This record gives sequence, C-alpha cells and structure tokens, in this order.
Amino acid sequence: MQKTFDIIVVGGGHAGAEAALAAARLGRSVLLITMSLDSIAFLACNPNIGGTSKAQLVREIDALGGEMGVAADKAVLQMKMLNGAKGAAVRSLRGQVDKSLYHRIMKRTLEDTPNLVIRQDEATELLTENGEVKGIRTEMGYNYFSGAVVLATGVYLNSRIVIGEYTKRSGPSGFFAAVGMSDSLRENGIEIRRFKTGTPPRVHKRSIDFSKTEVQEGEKGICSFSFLNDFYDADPAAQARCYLTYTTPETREIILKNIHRSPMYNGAIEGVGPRYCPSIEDKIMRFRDKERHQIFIEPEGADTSEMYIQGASSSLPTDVQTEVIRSMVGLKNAEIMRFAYAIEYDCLNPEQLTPSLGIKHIKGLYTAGQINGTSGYEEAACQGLVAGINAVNYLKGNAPLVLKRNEAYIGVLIDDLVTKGTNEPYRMMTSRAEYRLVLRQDNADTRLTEYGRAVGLVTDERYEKYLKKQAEVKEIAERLETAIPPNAALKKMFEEKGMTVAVRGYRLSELLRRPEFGFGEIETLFDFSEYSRAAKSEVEAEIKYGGYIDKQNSEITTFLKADRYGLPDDLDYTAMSGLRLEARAKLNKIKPVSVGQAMRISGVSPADIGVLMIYLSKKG
Amino acid sequence: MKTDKIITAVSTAVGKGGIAIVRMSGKGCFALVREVFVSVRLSADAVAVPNKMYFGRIDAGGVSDVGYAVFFGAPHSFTGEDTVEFHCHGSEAFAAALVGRLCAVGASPAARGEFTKRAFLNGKLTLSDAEGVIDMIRADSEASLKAAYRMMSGGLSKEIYALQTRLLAVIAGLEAALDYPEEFGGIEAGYAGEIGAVRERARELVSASRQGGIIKKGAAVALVGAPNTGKSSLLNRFLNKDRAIVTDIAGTTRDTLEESVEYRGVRLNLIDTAGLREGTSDAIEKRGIERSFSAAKGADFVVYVLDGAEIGNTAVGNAATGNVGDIEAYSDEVVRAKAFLKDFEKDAVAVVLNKTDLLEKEEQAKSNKGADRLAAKLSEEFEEYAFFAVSAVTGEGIERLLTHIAERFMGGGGDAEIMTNERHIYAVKRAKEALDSAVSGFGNEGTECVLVDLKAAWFALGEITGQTASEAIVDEIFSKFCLGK
Repeated sequence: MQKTFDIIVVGGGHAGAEAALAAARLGRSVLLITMSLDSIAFLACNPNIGGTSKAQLVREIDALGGEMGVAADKAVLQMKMLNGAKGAAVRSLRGQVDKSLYHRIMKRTLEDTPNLVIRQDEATELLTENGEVKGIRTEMGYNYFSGAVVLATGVYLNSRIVIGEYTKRSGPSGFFAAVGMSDSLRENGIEIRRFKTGTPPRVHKRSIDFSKTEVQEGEKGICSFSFLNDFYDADPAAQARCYLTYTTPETREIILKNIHRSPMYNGAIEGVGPRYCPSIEDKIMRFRDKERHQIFIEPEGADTSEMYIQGASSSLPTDVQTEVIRSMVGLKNAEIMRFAYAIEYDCLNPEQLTPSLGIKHIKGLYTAGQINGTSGYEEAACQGLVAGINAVNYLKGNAPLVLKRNEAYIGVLIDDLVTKGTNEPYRMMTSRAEYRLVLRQDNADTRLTEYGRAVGLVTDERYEKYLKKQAEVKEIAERLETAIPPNAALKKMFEEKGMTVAVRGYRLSELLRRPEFGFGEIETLFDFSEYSRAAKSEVEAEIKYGGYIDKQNSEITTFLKADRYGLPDDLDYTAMSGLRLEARAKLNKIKPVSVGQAMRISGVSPADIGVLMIYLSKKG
Repeated sequence: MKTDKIITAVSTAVGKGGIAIVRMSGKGCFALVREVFVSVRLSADAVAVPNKMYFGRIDAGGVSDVGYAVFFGAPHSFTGEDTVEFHCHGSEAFAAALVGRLCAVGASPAARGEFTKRAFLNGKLTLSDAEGVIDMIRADSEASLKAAYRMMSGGLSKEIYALQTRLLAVIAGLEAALDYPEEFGGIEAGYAGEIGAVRERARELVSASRQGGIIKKGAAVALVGAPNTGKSSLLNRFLNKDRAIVTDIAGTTRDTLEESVEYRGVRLNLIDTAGLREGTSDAIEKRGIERSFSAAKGADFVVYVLDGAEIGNTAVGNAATGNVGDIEAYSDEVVRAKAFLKDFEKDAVAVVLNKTDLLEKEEQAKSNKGADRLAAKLSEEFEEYAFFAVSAVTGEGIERLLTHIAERFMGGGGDAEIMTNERHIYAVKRAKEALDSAVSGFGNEGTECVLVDLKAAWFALGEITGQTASEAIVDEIFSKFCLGK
C-alpha cells in the first residue's frame, strides 16, 4: 500500500475536495483521508449554493479552475438571481441543489481523478520534524508521509452536538467526531479555539400545508455558476419550488416560555456562534418587537421528502422544537424527520496563517475551511482551492498564489482572516469587499482566468472560451462608441421610458450609462446578436459603473503600492521601541507579509507604519 | 488615472520661530505653486529651476506674505518626489492658512509621518537619518493625540462623532438590504431623508469650522467703550508698524472694518466703534450704542475700553481720603460696561483699563500706589473677563493684550493643533462632498454606488474620530438587523 505522497489532504468536505482535486490535477500524488466516503462534499446544512457574495466566490473558484461551480450546475434544482433588479456588482446567483446528487457528482469527480488516492480513515496525529510537516498518523495505525499536508477538518474536531439537554460527541448529521487531531495540533504549538454553529430541522413534505405559504419560483435567463456553461434557461415552472412562511405570535410565546431550556442561554454551550446565522430562539430574544420572522422551506433533493426549514435553526430540546415548528404558518402538522442541533467544534485562530493559508511556524502545513474559523460551503471551497494550489507551489518552490482584495472576494476573505482574525465563524458578505464594484460575477473570468492558467488548472477549453469572451468584450466596447442619429428607433426608446424625445444623436455607450437603459434597449438600436450574453453583461456593468469605478481606482492604486511593499518574515517587532506596545504585539503575532497588510491590522496606526518603515530602512 | 496625491504640511517645528516652512510633495506639485505664489523671477522661468530660491508673494487665501519658494525635482528631495518648500515668516497661523490654501487648489494635508513614509518608499532614507525621524514621528503623533484629545472634549468633535454614528446606521441599513435581499430588500427608500439630513449637518459643520475661517479671513475684534476712552489711540498702537504687518483689506465683506493687523500669526481685523456714540442728543447717543452693540455682536472678540484717567481722577480723589477702592466712585462706568457685556461669551471679551500713563502721573504726584490698587479692584470687578491695564501712549500692557487675543485664535497653546484642525476641516469637507454625491446619486444610481460615497464620507469623518475599522459596519448590520438563515 502506498504510504508516501506529495500531498495529504485531511477531510473530504468542500475545502478538502477542492484542495485534493487541485493538487492532483497539478500532477502531484495526493492522498485524501476522510472519515467517511459518504460525507465527501456533504452539504451538511442548507441545500443551496451561492447567495450574496457567495456566488461571486463560486464564480471565482470556477475561473481559477476549481470544481464547485461545475458540480453545482449539474446538481441545480432551482436557480435565482438575488438582487436581480439591482446593479451587477450586487447580483448573486443562488441555486437550490440536490444534496445527494451534489455529493455523488463530487465523489465521482474525485474518484476519476488520476494521482488521487481516497482512503477512509481518521487522521489523529500530525507528524512534524524541525518545524516541517512530515505527514500524518491515522487511527488505524498507519503513518502516511508527504511534503505537504492540507487540513480541512470542517466541524469534526472534537465536535459535540447539542439538542436541549441532550448532548453527544458527534460530527454533523450522525457522522463521527474526530478525536486526537486537536491535541496533536496543540502539541505542535497551534492555538485552538472553540466555535459553534447549527442547523434547522428537516420536515416531511407531506406534513406541510403549502397552500398557506408563498411559492418561490426559480428564474431563467441568468448566468450559470460555471463560466463553461451557458446561461441557465430552464423554465421556472419546471424548476423545483421553495416556499416562504412566517413565525406567529405563538412561536414567540413558546420560545419565551422555554428559553431556560436552551443550552445557548443556560450556559451549556460555550462556543462562539455566528451572528449572521442566529437560531430561532436568538432571533426572538434579540428582536422581541419583531412581529414575525421569515421562514423558507426548501427541498433537500429531488428524490427525498425532506424539506429544509431555513431560519429555524435551534438547540432547544426536541419537544420545544416540535412546538415551535408547529406554531409556524402551514406547519401545524409538521412531522420532523431530523431535529435541529447546535454543534461545537475546534478550529484554529487564523491569525496563525500566512496569506497563502500556510501555518506560519510549520512549513508545509496548510489549512482550509471551517478549521480556519469560516462558515459556508463556498468560503470553504475557495480556501481549499487556494491551499491545494499553494501546497503544490510550496513543493515546487514557487511563489504562493495570493489574490488581492481588489482582485477577488477570495482575496478579501483570506486577507480578513489572516490579518484581522475572527471572533465568530466568518461568513462572506459583499459589504466586506471595499472594491465591490469591480468584484462581480460577470467578470470573475476576466479577473482570474489568467491566474488559473498560470497555476495550471485552467484547461485549454476554458482558456479558449475565455480568450473569445475577452475579444468580444473589446469589440462590444468599441461598437458602443457608435453614434446614433436622432432616428425613429431612438425616439421610440426614449418615449417608452416616458422621457423627453431625443433631439440629438447619442453614442451608444452614453445611452447605456443612463440608469433608464440596459443592454436590451441598446440592442433595439444596433445589432449585437453575434455576441454572447456573458460578454454583453460584463461590458454593460463596466459602463454603468464607470464613474464609480474611476473613484475606486485611485484608492486601489494607493492600496496596491502599500501591498507591493514586502516585509521580511523574520522581523522582530518587539525590539522596535518606536512602536506602541499594542502595535508591536499585533505585528509580531500577524507577521504581515507587506506594508499594506500591516496597515490593515487593527491596532496599528499610521504613525506606527511610519516608524516601522524607518526601522526597515535601517535594516536594509 | 490619479497617481499618488500631492501632500502638504507645515514642516517646521511647532512653536515660535523666525521662519516657517510649508512643504508640498508629489507629482504635479510644481504646477500648484503658481496658484498661490506670484514671483517675477518664477514667471520669467517657464520651468522652475530646482534648488533655486524664488522670491515672491505667497497668497494663503485672504492673507499674504512675502517669502521664498524652493523647488526640488524628483528624486533629489527629502521624499524623492517633486517637492516644493515655501519659506515664510514664522507665523503658525499663516503657515496653516497656506496649507489650507494649497489643499483648496488640489493638495491634501499630509498624514502623520507621510513625508517620511514617501521618503522611505522612494528609498531616500539612510541609516543616519532614521533615528531622528523616528523621534519626529513619535513626537508628532503624541502631539496629535493630545490635540485629538482636546478636540474630543469639545462640542464640535461630539458633533462629528454623532454624525458618523448616524451615517453608520444608514450604511448598515443599506448594506443589510444588499446582503440580505430576501429579508430586507426594499428598505433602502426609507433612508433618503436621513442621508439628506446627515449631509445638511455636515454642510453646517463645514460652514461652522470657525477656526479655519479665522485662520483664513482673520478674527474680527471690536473695540467698544464710552467716547474718549482711547479706542482710536489703542487702534493706532495695535497698528504699530514695527511690530505688525499691515495689509490692505480691499474687497473684504465687512464694511465696518477699518484696519487689519497680524500678530503672532493671527490676523486681527480691528473694528473701531469710536464715533458711534458721538453726539450730544440722547436720542443719537442711544442709537450709537445700539450700533456699537451690533457691531460688537458680530465680532469674534470684544475689547471693552475703560478710561483710566477718568476713573482714576475720581478714584484718586477719593484716595486722598484713603478710599481708593470705593466702587461708588466709578460705578457708573462699571455698571454700563457690565450691562453691555452681559450678552457676550465671557472668554471672547477683554476689559481694558486704558490711560494708565495718566494715572501713573497722578499717582506719582501723590506718591501713591493707587493705580495698581485701582487696576486690582477693577480686575476683581470684572473677574469673569480677561482684564488688562494698558497705556496706548506708552505701549505698556499692549503686548500682553494682543498676545491674549491672538492665542485665543491659535487653538490653545498654539502647538500642533492648528495643523490637526486643518486636517479635521479638510476631512469634514471631504465627507460633505461625498455626501453631496450620495444625495444626488440616491434613487438614480444603485445602492452599491451610493454606498461608495457614504463610506467615503464615513471614513473621512473617521479620520477625526479614529473610527475607521470597516468591521464596525458589519457589527452594526448584525446589531440592528435580524438576519440570517
């Protein structure tokens, strides 16, 4: 049996799967250790992929040559464009996916990948020597050796689920917890902390009175997750449906009456939970004046009757949960199949990581996903991809792939994690991206395909498609400079918007810049039918945001200058007496790779940066 | 695309000095010089010659001074960029006004340590420079912290903090709508009013940035008092050519203004109300007092002049009977003064006992220390106000009086605060401009675009309050909105 690999990936969730695929596709021999083959790419919580900012992550993963977008497109049951009526930068795809199908597709992809060995076992120990990773030891007693290890342990480390007074050492959804690895990480000097998350109940479809709920249909004519796929054009009627319902005053009463039985409120759970994913009891307690809360009911898959009750995650005892669910509109007779639970798990403080997702003090050790304190499938997958790529870069002696905040949400996410740390499971939000206007779904391929190509994950097929789109974008932009005389078509276009009739000619780009018109209207004036929708969307967004993008560009220039200024990793900040104590401590912990990163650390002032630079000049 | 901005600051150490140097650095700064500097020799040179001192008149916006401009071409400058230094007379206020003027024509105030940072980024610092520069940055940041602390206790800073907090609530609401469209989509419209209100407040703050206004336009100082108390001679003494630079003030808006003087870097626009109460008929005198009052009311500072000789004569008369301090002797004048001053801000007033020279003569004649005792008694009487005993004729006490007035407009102790305030004013102005753009964009442009401006405004205000961590926005979203699956 093969015992030595280039790279070992621990965990087969969304981070582990991307890491293993990337490394193997780059020609490395890879061992993927997972506690259960049935939990590969398991969607443990909500049955959807994408959503605000997360869809951007998926499109970015895809542009770099990752797998999530391709798999999601195959497993989609319903597709929607959130913020569809708003600007391109905040539009986000959200796909309801078939959980079982998604798992099977991803498992199959992994199985079919050369150089990739998948083995069911539990990694219990990290093998290191002189600050370098050597491999792992498993529960079954094997030692596996490798030059690099990617830890993607999800919520499994020392995990414990809690449902009211009931608690059990367990991973999510009945999978085993991983014991041992946390201690091994501690022994290797890694700071471990405890986070908490949760998932709502699943209810049998036949027990729901859908007539009392609002139907939420899918959409068509919107882009797919993968750049490789055409626009999504399935008839909404043929897509799966979701349903919207609400809590009632009774829900509130039940929770208030039973709140002392919530482990979150009586102190039985200590882990820090995410604020953006509050349990139903949290919502009621914190926002008591709110009359009702939204609850979405979503299918878990095409061939199951389980329905996911989004908005009702809870750690209340099962009897209370039953009462709570049944108090909601349309759920009077709800038959709960799986109860909601809270799960506590070990993760590490991401301030210990470099922007390449490597642990600073152990060479060759990379971590990705929830172990880094994040939450969400997409957040995990993008880190897995970056960690996998950088494990390979490390072995090859190449510079790591580090995306910048103005290049990708992935860059924002990783920079936030390693520079600022996080005190709760970190979820991506578009508001975290200061250069949001340029980090769009429609231009993810433009932003990142070249990086993926340079790394070696972008196939010829994808690259050619990318080049074609780039050419289209250029041509469309040129053609949009065409001047249109004040003809009948132009007149009609203005009149249809109830606007004063145009008395002069216009350049097409000038018209497109106006909020009243979209590309659809422009096409009534000029034939753009030979171009793809993808190219047209990108050009439209660039033109619409033109003025604002210009505003951001000067900020970006300043930001890049500071980010390009590298800092050596062996600086002893504690010896820099000109720095304030807080700044010294922070800088020493984070060990920023650039002046830009140093500037973003909270507790480091502009004066500290000035002082730091002087020390650097002395050194140099 | 814009490259690095041009930065400017007063580069000489704070405090009094013979000359003050204002430095400006960044690509394109040579062109800005011609906006503020008129020089025959510079006009003669199509392109400024590096390392040559050009003599000319520096216009700091309302105030001007003769001085030099020196050009340093990149990379032969401290920062390694094109740099210009203005050498002016050692007036803090003038230097600060010049910085303000340069900002108005396209530069930005330098952040703490920013010149050094640029010097470093351009590889200009050597080992021997380093230690000294660290001390400089530390000292500067400490001074700025002190200045910031002083600001924080003031009403203006509370105002800015409140404004930033309101802005944060707006941003959080709009962000929640974008990040959680299914829960909060549609709440955006409700914020139109608040954005407008915040902009309006920012606008008021900008126009109320009195400090900045005074630096640029000067402080209006009204001399009031009964006829013949010596207001005119005081004015002339203030204008003493060997101490002050007198400038023409043609075109200024204050038509009551007569003379202008710069003292210790502060421009004082002196309003002489003498003559307003001239006339014999009661009716005319009354109107005169009213006019005098309204002129004083519009001023930044009031100098109330008491006639030392008049009071002294009465008092000294009583002194013979050992009754110098008897308030009855000069109560009319005191009562009138108090009645006049009761509506003024206490620290914007100085009560001046003039003509001490005459008093001295009387006193000498009677070999009595009554003058000092009189001054002491009056000073007690006006203890709520700054009190000075002066002589317009001999000049006694004039320096102290002028110093007192000037310091009031120098921002406390006259250290780094002027520069800091210039940055504060600049920050509020930028916030206001961003908010203008947000207001006009709201409803026309997407929420994500309006947010670009709102966040720019928030960050600009954060430069004053210190609140610039973007996590604050995310925290606010979570604390205000019930969201999530």
